[in-house]
Amino acid sequence: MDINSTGNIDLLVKNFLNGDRKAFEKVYKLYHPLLYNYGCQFRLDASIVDDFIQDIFIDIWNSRERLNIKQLKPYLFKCLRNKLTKQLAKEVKEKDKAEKYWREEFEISYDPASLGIDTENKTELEKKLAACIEELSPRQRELIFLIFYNDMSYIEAADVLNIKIKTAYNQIHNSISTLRKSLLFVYLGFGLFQHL
Amino acid sequence: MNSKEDFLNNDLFRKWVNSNDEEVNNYWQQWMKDNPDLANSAKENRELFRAMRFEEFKPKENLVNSSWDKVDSLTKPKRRFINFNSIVKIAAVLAVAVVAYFPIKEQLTKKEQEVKKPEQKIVYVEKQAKKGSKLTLNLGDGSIIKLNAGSSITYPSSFAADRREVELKGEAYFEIAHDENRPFTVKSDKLLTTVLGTKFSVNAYKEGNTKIALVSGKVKVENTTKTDEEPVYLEPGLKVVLRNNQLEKEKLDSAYDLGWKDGMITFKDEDIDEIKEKLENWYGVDIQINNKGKIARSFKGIYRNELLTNVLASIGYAMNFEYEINGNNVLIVGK
Repeated sequence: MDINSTGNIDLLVKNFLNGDRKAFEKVYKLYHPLLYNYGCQFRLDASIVDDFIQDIFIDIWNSRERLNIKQLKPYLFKCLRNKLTKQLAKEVKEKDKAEKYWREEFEISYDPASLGIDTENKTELEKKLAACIEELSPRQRELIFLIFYNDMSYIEAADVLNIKIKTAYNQIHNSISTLRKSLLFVYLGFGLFQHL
Repeated sequence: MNSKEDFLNNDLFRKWVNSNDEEVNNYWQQWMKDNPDLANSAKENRELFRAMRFEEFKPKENLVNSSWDKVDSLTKPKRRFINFNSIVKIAAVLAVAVVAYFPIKEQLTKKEQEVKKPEQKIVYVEKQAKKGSKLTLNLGDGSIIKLNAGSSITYPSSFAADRREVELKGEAYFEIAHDENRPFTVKSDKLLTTVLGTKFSVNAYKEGNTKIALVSGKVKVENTTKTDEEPVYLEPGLKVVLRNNQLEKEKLDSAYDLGWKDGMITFKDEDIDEIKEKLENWYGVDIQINNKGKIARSFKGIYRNELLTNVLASIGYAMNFEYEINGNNVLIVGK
């Protein structure tokens, strides 16, 4: 199915929430890969992510008449996020070694080539790029993931993270200025950002 | 605009970053002409986002299907037209193990030609559960069919007014909606199984060996190759087995005969070749066996929702083999 044809998806979601099981299956198979990719970014056990996705859909199906879901996609992401953050907190507590359990959520990498830069010392450059990205907070990276890689509006992404829309705007603005500042030092001399 | 980079908040900026849509692109080309002082900044910011790479986690090939199967079975509606009392009377639960490796569609067309009725065109639907995954189907009449891995079923897109007929290759479990006027028939290799409203499972993996087991209700089983023979009527708790073209009644073992639909892979005194075939279907892998002579003759066991590696370790311990899993390939070596 064409994931961009919003009209079709709206209809599908409507049928699903009205109890159409064929639509249910389609909606499930459409959103499962998206949710799975999102959930795995939290760097927890992948099978837990699948379990949570199942739980969420079963819950929605069973209480679909009571629920008033306006936008399914952010709702799904939000449910999964809540479950994962709870799980994360639980695991960190259980292990009692938060340090060991530190994980790079929403890890981003920069491929030098995709920035149009070519250099002999690739590993050194990649390291420096990674250091730049690490200056972004996990929440900033998550927002970037939702907005720019999962086609969510600021309103939807803010809803998923349970933050104000204005905060979402600020986070994205801050991300960009952080990146531009840190990348400036890396790329000085390459002539990429004339305006930095 | 109070901040010079307010364009970041523009919904179309997001579209510009994550797509190559021409309209969106044109909008930003125009925007950059109108805002020359911000044009470079916009372009660079777009590149900064576009060049980011998140690790991509794709669900493994069968995960989405098997995940859906679980959700499906846990949310399946209880059928309204059967009240509790009538369940006992009309709902038959039947497990059918049939062997049917024959060209299904050809058979159907032949039959049509023989009849030569000017019937309206029937469109047949074939559904297949790939190796390593199961598939649940909802037929238009309210019946539900669960296909085991590596099985396929053919049925008309809409049933006739006086009968419901499907043809099966492999194994399937049926929950048939009761309809007195339209008996439901499963064709498989040599057997016809007819019910009014019932739940049953058909296994047609292997040739020459057919099993039909009934949990409750009543079904009729006929051997199509012996038209003079009386059909067998099956009572609950029994199964009928076709051996050497003879129908024999036996007691039903719900774990071995029906367990697959609840995630149980079962082996009832099976040799390594039968085990290989089952594992290949169930887990969607290819198995190679070396040193077969050193492997024990037969194995009996049941595993529920177990990982392939655990199943292999357990059987290997009992049957004396070692194994190696390499992606979709499994090597079994007798020791």
